[in-house]
Amino acid sequence: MPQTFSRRQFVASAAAFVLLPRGARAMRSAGQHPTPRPGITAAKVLTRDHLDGSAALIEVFDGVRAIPQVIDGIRCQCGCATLDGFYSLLSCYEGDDAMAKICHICQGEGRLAIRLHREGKSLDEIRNAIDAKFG
Amino acid sequence: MKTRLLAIALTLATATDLHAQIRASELGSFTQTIDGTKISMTYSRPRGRGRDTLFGSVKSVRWGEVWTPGANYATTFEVNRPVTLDGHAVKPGIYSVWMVVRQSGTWTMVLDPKVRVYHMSPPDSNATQIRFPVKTHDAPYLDVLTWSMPELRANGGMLTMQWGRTRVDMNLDVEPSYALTMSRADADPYVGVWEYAEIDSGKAGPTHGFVIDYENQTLKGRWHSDSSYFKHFALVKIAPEWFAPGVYDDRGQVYEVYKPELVLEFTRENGRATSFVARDDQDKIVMKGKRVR
Repeated sequence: MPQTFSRRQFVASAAAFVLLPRGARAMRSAGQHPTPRPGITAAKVLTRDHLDGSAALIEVFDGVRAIPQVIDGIRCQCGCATLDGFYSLLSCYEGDDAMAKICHICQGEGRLAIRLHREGKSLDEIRNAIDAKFG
Repeated sequence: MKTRLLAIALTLATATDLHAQIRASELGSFTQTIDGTKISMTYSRPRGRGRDTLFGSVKSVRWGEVWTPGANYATTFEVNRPVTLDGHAVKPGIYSVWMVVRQSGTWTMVLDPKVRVYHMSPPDSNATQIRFPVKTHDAPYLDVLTWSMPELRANGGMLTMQWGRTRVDMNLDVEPSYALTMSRADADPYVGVWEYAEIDSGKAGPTHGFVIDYENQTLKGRWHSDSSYFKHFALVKIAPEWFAPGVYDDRGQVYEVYKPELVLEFTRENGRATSFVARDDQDKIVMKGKRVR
């Protein structure tokens, strides 16, 4: 019996499905979720023209763009929340160097928030889900 | 004379921060995160420098001395969440570290809330301190005093100080982020025989068996796998109806909760879980399952 067992082996042995590349492992965070800024828009969220034709990225960026008032009330758990200029998960999707272009945690949080919003969940319920899965 | 020496020593120690300089006890540190609890120690690291005896000698640490296990300014211990050390509660904060060094019997570990204290001014015993006995052990020679955590668990580890042939181990426990146990009443809606299929590119693969049982106050899952590690895994509740697999090591201890990579989301009908989907870290459905009985 091997003494160590990687995550990949763990899942492969169970279900044999392929994991997506793992982003930085999020740590449990004690940070508070931000209050959505009144009148916030998605004007700075990157559009498909800036996403190198990646269908998966375009989908999540478009989804975030549709609900900036929700995404702006979520604290990202990837560690970027302490960076200068960061306000909310929405910040991860803004600007040429938007972290969500490369960060799987930012992307996963965005996708989860988009789905739960479509399912009619409140902002607090979405925050709790993000914390439970990524915190 | 003593005051003058102290002043010189303080000046030299302060200079450490300002100039590149070879010091007898270079500044070091280590940080360890365990389940979101960050443990940090900063200390100057004395070397043996060929001394035959490091403890019980006038040239190093004298018996009965209240000694900082380090050098220069007192070693510091910092945690961002509550922990216990050998069962003694330590609140979040930063402490100076001291040990009462004895020739026989146990030593006394002391955490004092006052920091930035020079080693020649150890604190008197007071009510704000955390004090408890620690045992010393013989160990292979280590020239440079070293604090480390050579053993880690999901909920803690061994905090160790070693210098020369003397080692002190302390058990450090953190507050776990999840409860691995649950009541029978909370577990029952999920217990049963299930089947599931992997989902790849939207298509379901072959169906496999999946058993959820309740053992040692823990909800556990077992599904199609040839791996001994995956014969039984904990289903750790992370949110209402959401569970992540907790992987056991050979000693039966959960060493990782496997999220966000795999989260099982159950659906109930009439109070009983009847189906689930498993989603990966990108919220993609990678498995679907339903209750068989």
